[in-house]
Amino acid sequence: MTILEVKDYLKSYQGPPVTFMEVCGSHTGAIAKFGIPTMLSEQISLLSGPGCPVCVTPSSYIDRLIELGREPGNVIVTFGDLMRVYGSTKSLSEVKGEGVAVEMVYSPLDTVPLAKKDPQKTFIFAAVGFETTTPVYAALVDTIVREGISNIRLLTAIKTMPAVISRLMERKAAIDGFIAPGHVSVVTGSAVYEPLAERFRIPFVTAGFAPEELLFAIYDLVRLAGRGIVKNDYPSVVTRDGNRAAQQLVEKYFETGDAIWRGMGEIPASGMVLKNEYAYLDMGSDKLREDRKKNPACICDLVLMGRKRPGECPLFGSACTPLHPQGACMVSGEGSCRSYYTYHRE
Amino acid sequence: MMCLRCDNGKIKIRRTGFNWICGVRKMCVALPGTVVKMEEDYAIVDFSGNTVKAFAGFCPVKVGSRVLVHAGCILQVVSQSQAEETEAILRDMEEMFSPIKPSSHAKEGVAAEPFGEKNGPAPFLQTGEKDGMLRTGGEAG
Repeated sequence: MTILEVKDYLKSYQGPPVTFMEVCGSHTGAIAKFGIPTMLSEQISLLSGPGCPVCVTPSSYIDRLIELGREPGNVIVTFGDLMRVYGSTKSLSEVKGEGVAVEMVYSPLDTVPLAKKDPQKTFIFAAVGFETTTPVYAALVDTIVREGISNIRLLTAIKTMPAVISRLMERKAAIDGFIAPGHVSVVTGSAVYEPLAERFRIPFVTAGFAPEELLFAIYDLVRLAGRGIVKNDYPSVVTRDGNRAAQQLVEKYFETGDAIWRGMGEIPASGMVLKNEYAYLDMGSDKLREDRKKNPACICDLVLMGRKRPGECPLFGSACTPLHPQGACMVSGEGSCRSYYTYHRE
Repeated sequence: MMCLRCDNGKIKIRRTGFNWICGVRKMCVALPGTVVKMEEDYAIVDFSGNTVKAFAGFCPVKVGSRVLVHAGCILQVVSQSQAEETEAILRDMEEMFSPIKPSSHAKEGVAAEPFGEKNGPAPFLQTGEKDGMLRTGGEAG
């Protein structure tokens, strides 16, 4: 099957209507960028799911980071993506302008030299993300423990994919298959989707980020609709079992825990938390239960669950733009709203 | 010079279109690079002239390996062709996200129209069909 045949098949498809969800922010971006929805028959719909890490982080998490940052001697260390995400009232970017110490780094491991250079201060890493990033946090904790570094702490909001996919399907989301995330699957392996595929009788196809790869994945999903099958269309980097060394280091320091998702509330066993013996490194992640919208009209929660499209939000493109985001989905380059806005995805 | 996307001034930055961006900060996208030096548990990885120090404890790597790096951590060793392909895609995505482009949803600015009947197919569909396989933008043939 050549890509041209795949393209023709998808454009002329007249079978039963099918809806597929991508649960990776980078897939959302690539699908918008390459105009993939315009290459599909009207019978095939694509939805964005909860695949953007900062988008699913609840407001209380940002509020707690700000609170910690205001305490003398504390420095918040974070990825750039989190800077402009609002808590209930403010973002890290705003409070940095008010004098709160916030450092942005490329890698969580960059916190180590910062902490060694300034031992009088406590450096708190904002550990958010999915399975792709958790091994890096495990490597950071490993360094802290091995080297006995006493002035690095973590505030965690680490999420896992299978539990949220399960929640979406339990709530009867009208989804006929998932484009499984590419780089999450590098760590977890494609086998992680097998129980879900079997339970909900839907296909999962791991995909790369090239337009050809996405079209092939959608083609496979159409052909496999109604069957509980996992197919790996990204075999150059994804294996069935994933990166075992990374998984083992994560298992050493983290365990499964309940997690709060922005707009979705608590989902049991959908997160990773530090194990009890390393809980002294945590700055109160387990107390963060609240999730409030900065703008009550924002429908980020419904967008994340695939119940509404960004264009259905009354704020989209008017009150809410990348320059003046009202919800997290418009902040990150991986957010659904930002992606739809930038590339006019319908 | 500060990176306009993430305010990062500590990593070498480069010009992309009208913006200066560091090109290495992505939360969830693992970027391909080349290992140029090993330093115990870490590797120095080159990304088109930008170098970063990445944790190498999860994969067997050596100098010359093409690797996927996420948040300063090597997650996978990839083939040369796969690395180049991923690099091209991410470069496109970087250009997509770094400048805040106005779209027709916006009240301000000039509308950026999508590909389709009106404006023709996406660039990658305009080229590279000679062998029945499509290539990404700018890499046809």
